[in-house]
Amino acid sequence: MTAVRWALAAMLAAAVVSGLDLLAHPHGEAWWHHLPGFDLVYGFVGCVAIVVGSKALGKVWLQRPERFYEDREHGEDGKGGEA
Amino acid sequence: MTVHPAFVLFVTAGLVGVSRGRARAGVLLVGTLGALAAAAALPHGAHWEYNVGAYALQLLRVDSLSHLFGLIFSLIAAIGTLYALGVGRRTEHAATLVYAGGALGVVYAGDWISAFVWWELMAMASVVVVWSGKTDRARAAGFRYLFVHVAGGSLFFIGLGLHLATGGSLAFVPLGGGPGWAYGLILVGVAINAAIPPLHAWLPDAYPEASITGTVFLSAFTTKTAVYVLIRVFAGSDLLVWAGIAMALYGVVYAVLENDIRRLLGYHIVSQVGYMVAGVGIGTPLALGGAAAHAFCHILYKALLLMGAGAVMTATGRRKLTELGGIGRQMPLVLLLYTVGAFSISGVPLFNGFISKSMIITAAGDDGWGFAELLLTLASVGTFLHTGLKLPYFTFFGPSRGLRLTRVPGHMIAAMGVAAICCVGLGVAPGWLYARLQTVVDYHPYTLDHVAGSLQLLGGTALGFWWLLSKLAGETTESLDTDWFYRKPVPVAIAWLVGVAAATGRFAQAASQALVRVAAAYAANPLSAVGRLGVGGTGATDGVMPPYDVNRYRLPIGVTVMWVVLAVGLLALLVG
Repeated sequence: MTAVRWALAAMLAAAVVSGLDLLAHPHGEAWWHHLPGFDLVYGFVGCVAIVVGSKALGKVWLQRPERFYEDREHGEDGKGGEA
Repeated sequence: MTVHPAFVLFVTAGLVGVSRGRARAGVLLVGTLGALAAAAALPHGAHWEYNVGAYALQLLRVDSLSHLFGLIFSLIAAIGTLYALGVGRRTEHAATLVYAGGALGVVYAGDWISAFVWWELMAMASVVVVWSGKTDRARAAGFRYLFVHVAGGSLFFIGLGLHLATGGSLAFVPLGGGPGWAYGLILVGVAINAAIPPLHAWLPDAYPEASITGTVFLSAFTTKTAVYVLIRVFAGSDLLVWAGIAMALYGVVYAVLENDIRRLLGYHIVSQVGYMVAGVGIGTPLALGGAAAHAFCHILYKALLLMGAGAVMTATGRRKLTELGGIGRQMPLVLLLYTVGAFSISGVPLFNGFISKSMIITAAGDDGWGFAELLLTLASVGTFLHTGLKLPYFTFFGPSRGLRLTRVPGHMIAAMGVAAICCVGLGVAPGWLYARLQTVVDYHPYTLDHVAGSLQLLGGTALGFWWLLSKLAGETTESLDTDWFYRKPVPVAIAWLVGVAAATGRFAQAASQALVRVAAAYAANPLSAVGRLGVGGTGATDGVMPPYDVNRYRLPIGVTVMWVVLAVGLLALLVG
């Protein structure tokens, strides 16, 4: 139940801050400045895109086990490469 | 009285060496506050000039820009010193003060040569700060840091030499004559210090390996001095807009993957400096003012965040998200102060990031960089996601690891408190900062549409975080970055070169031994060579060198006896 309540509260808050857009006088020129609730959607979609995109990039390419560099440096000759 | 603040810090660094205990603490506080007072008291237009050979150098040049950067550098030196009081070792204190002094020197330098000398001093002192981590990792990271900064400094120096040799002005002002080799080389040298990808990897590599107190200083000076030089010299370069956007997003992507709390914050230094670099590139008065204002605010909240991370590390002895959790109840004050820093960097209204970051984003929109405006806003989403939500959630909330905490010293909390007051103060009363910018700006951050937009953006991000929470926990991995290029191939190349050198040595040894073996026979019996050459003697035709025989060419003893008998006989005849 708590989760549902939190979700309702969050939606209410989102509705209120989006409603402020209708009262406010937009300063920017671009079309997104005139779209009520644009920043809310952009924040949510941007957040999801950042997480999903970065995690995908990490999985296929960037992420390596810890001590990735040290283990190699201490590799063949058993001595530190740089330390 | 006009006093160069850097020299106040140098004198303090010297006195640290000869004092101990409470006296040292007193020296440190008085010295750093003295430097702050000296910076605040510097009158606009003050300058110190002197001649070295044919060069007229300017050690001190005070205008709005240098005054602003001087003020924040000396303020953060004081805050960082308070944080380190009683924790930092003597060498570390001295190194941080010289490092801060070097940064101040660059800021106040009025000519290129002075600026370069201070620039290098800063690089050398900061390596010692990296080494203050006192671990094997810190030592190795420090050497890599040194390697990168020596390379950067060399490019800067070559560019500077070209600039001066081709009749460029000695004054530390925008380079005349448009882009060329000198322009490019100096820009690359500065870009390394500004941590612009792909030249940034030294930062997340080295900063988290320094001591808890040392990292606070590192976060403030090197990148922001580079931003200062960019504002001073490279304002309005379109290339920098794209570089800035790339930086802002690059740091965000890596922060998603990062498990080490200080390295996560390090990637967000790259991201935040991206806003400043983009602002410099846009080059309008609002954007340039925004870059300086954001540098000012960033130094305060980033130091606060790293001090918070340091307090967590002091209390728990741990530095990874996967090993932390649930300590918020045990250290509420640290949580509160960290949150001030997190809200500031995220651009929450009433905190200082809101009043400076938005200047750059607004300037981008005003100047026709709508695409940049959207991408910088996206980076802002990432900033709140990591620094404002992920890091504090998995450190202070999240699953408890049953950690037993040690007490965080009072001076650490006090230093965080001072930084937090500054963050909130600037957020509430931005006019103080706007009045001190190098450009005249008529900017009002607290408009209804801007506040509403910011709250929506933060709310949307929070919703996304809540939805993806299970995916965001730290992972025990390291991420590949451009330091791979010198961390992986270099050891292999060194191993290969050592192999080549060893093989060459072995070959030379074998060859010289063979030569000696052959030559030894001739040395003992040179005439055998004569025989070989067919001049005479024995064994010249059989093709095989005869074994050494001492009697082969020795005259028989009878010959000698005959000569002696003849000589004696002759003597007898003559005498007789």
